[in-house]
Amino acid sequence: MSKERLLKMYELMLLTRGVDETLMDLFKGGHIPGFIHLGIGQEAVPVGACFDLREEDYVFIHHRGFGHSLTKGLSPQKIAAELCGKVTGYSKGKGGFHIADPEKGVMGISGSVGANFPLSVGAGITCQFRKKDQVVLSFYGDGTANREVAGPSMNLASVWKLPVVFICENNGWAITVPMEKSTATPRISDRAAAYGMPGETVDGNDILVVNEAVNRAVERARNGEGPSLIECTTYRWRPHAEGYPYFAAEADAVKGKDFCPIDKLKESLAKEATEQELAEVEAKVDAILKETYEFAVNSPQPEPEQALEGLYIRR
Amino acid sequence: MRNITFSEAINEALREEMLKNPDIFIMGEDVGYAGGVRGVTKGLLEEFGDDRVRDTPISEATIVGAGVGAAITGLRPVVEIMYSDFLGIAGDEVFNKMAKWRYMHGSSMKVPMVLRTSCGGGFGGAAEHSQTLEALFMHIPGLQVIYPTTAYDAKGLLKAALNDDNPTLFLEHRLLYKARGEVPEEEYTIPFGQADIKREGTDITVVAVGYEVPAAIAAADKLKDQGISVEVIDLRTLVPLDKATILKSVEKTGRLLIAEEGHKTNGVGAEIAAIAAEEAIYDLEGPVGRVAALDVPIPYSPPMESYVLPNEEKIIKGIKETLKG
Repeated sequence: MSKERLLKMYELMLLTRGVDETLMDLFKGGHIPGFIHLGIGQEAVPVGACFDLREEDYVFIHHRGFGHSLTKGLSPQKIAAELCGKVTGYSKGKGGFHIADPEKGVMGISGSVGANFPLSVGAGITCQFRKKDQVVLSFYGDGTANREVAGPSMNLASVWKLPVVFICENNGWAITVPMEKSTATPRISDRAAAYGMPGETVDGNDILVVNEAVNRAVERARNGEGPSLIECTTYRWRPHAEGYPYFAAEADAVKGKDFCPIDKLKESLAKEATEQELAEVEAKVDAILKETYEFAVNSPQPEPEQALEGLYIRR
Repeated sequence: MRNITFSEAINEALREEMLKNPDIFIMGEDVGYAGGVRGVTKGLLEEFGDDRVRDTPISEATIVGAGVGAAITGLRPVVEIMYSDFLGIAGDEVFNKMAKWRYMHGSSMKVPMVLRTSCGGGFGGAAEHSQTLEALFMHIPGLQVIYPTTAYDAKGLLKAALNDDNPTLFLEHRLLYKARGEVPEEEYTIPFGQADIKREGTDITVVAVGYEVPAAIAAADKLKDQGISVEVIDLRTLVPLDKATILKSVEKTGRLLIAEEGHKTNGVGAEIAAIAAEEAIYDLEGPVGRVAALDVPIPYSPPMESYVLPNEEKIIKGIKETLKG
């Protein structure tokens, strides 16, 4: 893999973690009126999975982290502004963590987890109609794997050979419940067989492994061969949402730090890039994060009456 | 003018709009090969192929959610759920996705989707195949709720829905599919938010919803012989609601009765009565009347079913009582 690609991955992972940390700062500073679900420790999955997507490819995202959106080219400033309820945010302050940018194929973060499953099937139908070999990445967590619509959506995607790649970010926790207490079998990828699609479990803390596995599934989808399921195992370092009970996951978070995806990529990078090159990337990301914080804090609040705008389209 | 069935009128609307717009496609249980369990989508699979007329598995939540996913990425899905009673299965997809995804995302997306479903009782369907749930959907901002009762209205309103950019719930009463009515050959659509005065009258306004429209018309015709002049307003679209037509009629008659097949508690009638109380209280000469289903699930056996559901006779009784009040 070229040094430029590795450096770009490094930049996006740093940005993903940095945006989460910036949001944590904003949250602690009382700038975020709602809740935030941080994906710190899981950056390899969103960045690795979305790294080679085209702009016209679609992603449907779960609650945790903004790496998918950032890798698809969304602005960290507009993400942070939205979380702060500002009119400059992606949803003009109406969504909070519900970030979307259809122009860039980022199709939303559902409030009820797992709604992504059928929505991804629908986007897959659109791809099939357009015949432009677009694909849909449908992200979910191991807790969400148990949503009622998961199975039927995978079934339908498979029946119609839709270009959807289901990506389970398995961090082992459904809010506060560990996987062994909620899920009958230890491997989410085993479920792929029930729906006639390939399934595999990969190391979700190694961005190169995630990238390679997802690209293979994307290739298959673009060729009209149908959906796949990729389970990426990783660790959740933070509670489900900031302020939520944290007790059970603490040990895992400590353990997770031994498998930090950013440190792991840095090891590969050390052989390719100079310290100077790494420092340049870090400085670039730091500057973006500083701007992000300031943009979010300094952006104007919406006018209350804007609450009444944008529900229906009337000609 | 031609006389065709309600079901044929819907079929024509679908076919005509599908010929015009290649982004329209249909999916649902038994809509393809069988042409729908009531024949509404008959012939469409043969004409448009299985890309555009898709038989689905029995997965209501997934079908509705896939409709939303296709709509926000640029297509115009027509999703059919065989019984509106089953929309509860797709509750998240209807209430949280279809209705909210445009607003919640700051209007950056649109959901141009039509969700067709059959509703209503009166045929021994029992509690889970007989419901009339429009009030539930009316309560959720973001949805449009359309409920035609004639072949003419069904065709014109469905064609409008297929050219509209908002998510639309399209209700079809199960006992109306075979009802015949005049439908012109030429192109027409009916705009949303325009009630239709089906009978003009001066003594009382009856605002009728869905299947109670034909019953209210029959009641009006009978009462005319008894010297009572009844104005029957068919709302046709519940969201958007044509308040102006209701208020204008109440101003004229001074009396108001609402007839609907849904349950009385928190029904459409409750909302319209509240609007009258807020905006027309001084036009009213007496209490508002409501004829609706009794507040129990719809029972199976005919004597109990007809006791629970409203009908022409109950509307006549309701009109007379309201006029006395």
